[in-house]
Amino acid sequence: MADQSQAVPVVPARAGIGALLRSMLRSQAAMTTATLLVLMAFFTVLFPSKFLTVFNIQNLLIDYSGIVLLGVGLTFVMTSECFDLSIGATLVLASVLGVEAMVLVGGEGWSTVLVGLAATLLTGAAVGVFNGFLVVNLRIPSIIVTLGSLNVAQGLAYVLTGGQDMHEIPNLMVDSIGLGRVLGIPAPVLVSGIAVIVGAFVLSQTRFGRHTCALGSNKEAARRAGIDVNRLSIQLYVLSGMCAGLAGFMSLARFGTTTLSGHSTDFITALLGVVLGGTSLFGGVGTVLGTAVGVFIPGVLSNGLILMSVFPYWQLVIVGLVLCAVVYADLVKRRQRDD
Amino acid sequence: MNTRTPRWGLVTIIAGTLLASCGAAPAATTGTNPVPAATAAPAAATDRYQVALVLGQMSDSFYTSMQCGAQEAANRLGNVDLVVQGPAKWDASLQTPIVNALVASQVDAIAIAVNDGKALYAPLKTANDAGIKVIGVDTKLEDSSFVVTNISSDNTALGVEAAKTLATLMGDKGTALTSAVPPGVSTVGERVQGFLDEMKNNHPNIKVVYLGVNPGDSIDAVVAAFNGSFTANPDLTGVFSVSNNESEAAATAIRGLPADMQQNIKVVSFDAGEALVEALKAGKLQALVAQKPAEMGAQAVESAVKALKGETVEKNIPTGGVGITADNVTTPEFSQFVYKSKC
Repeated sequence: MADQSQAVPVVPARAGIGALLRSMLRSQAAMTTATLLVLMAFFTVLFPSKFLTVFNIQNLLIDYSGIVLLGVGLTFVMTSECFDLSIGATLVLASVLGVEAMVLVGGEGWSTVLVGLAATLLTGAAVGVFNGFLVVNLRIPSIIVTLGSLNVAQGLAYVLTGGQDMHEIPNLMVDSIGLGRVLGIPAPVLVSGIAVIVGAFVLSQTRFGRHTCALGSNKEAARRAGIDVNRLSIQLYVLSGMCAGLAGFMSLARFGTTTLSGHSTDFITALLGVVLGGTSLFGGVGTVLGTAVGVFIPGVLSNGLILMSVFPYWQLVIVGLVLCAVVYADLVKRRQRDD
Repeated sequence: MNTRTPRWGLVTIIAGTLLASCGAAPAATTGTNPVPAATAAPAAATDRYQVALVLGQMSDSFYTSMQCGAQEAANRLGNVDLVVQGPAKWDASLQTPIVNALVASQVDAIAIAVNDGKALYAPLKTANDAGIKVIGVDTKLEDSSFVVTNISSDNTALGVEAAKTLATLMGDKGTALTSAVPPGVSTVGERVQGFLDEMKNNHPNIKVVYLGVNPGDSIDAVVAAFNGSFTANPDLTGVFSVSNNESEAAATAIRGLPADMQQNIKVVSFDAGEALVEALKAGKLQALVAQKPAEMGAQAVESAVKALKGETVEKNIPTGGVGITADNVTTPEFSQFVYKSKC
């Protein structure tokens, strides 16, 4: 890809914060951020006392924190030219097994919550291994494999719960994590914020990240360059699965229930953020920071349209049109730059 | 809903007499019954009727309540042998063999909550051709021309009941939030329309605004839409939730509000399963509009017997809804409408 160096700077690992900042400015994340800022400025002018308030912005950050977590994992997988459609279902299955594990050990304390966290992460990792194994060893296209595992995970979640949401979640988890704050920052925002920073660093500044880009850019070349592409693919699915597992844990903490049927479109929402953020649909180029910003473009747009009291059916139309416009503007800018 | 009010006396009397014998399934079936003959008194006929009730799904409190109501009616009539069957989960391919087996066992009537309006047509038509009376309950066949009657909730009436209940909780003023009519889901659409009409016609001081979400949106987006609506409408004090997802999302969004705002917001939701009643008692919701599955079950058995005796039965029998709040859920006349996990 011609513009690979734009989004994924070729800088040595551990090159320092300065290089990271410089690459950020040149990256597509900058374009996405500009779009987001324009939208925010628009709604701020329109609703000065309602839009740009701590209450509203904080709610937006909290409400999309789960999608951001899913987006981080998805960015990695998509950078390697694969898809992971199963993230929403993995989230649900992880939250179900998380509750099951917490019920099994009993108690209401932090140790119980930690067991829940471990169970959700392990579930995510297990789905990731399953996906990775099928993609790598059986060479089934990733879009089919993860469509399959989507159904498997969602189905297992229904089987385990009998189709009824589970509510046996320690109050501590809802109060301290779902509603909790650390240094004034809502805990869900903090968790996804850390995930974004770590993810951005790993993808743009480490060997693992560069190998991921190489795999997505040209798999055969990556293999000949000595990268263990099979192992890397599985690792990427495990990473995506664990992000979904963590999102499942945070979902439990926020909703206090397993929300069995609430995540069927999470993949689409996350995908939108990833693509708007500048990660290529065809692999090789990926930016976690872009994803984090990209998720909020439809988010801020919906929020603003609600403030404008636009009828819901029209909101769909407007959001759809704006998304196309944003991607088109991005495309035009990239073509100009490449010429 | 007009039919509900005068029935309370009767409900209480019948429920009172039955409480002692079995788990107090609401036996109040006469109120909306368009042909009120031969309901309360045991039939004098010597014939015994084999009536099968095929539930939409086993171990679902809505259908368990239906079963309880049907059993009550069978006991009351005295000449009915009731067989209750149902698939383990909502699946037409599991429900079809049940119907076929019932046809083979030559029951006199089948009352069924079909899992699919098309898939169950052929097996039920076969049953009808074999001389078995077929009755639709809760859900219905797309082509139900041969069916004796369809007994189902009047969804518009449920929406009206929700609007009345919410208006009372809101003190008849302020702003109420509802989803837009979801395209393609007729039952929910009728409920929302009933809600909107009642608010417009009888509660002009309540302004209705729409929740900015669309069907299939993830729960995170629904919470975001609730938060956006709370920001946009500071005087928003009522929420009309049409799905479990929306109720959960509303509860999550409200938990994040400042304490003084939290107390002012009232949420009305549908159905009265145990989890929702727990949520009601815990203050996560302020009211539930319960359907009347027990009444549906009772009506199904009564209609079956009437049809078998050759009496006429209305082609459609709508059942209403009842608003349950934290205040009245402890009283027997309302708690009887909470869905049961066993009779």
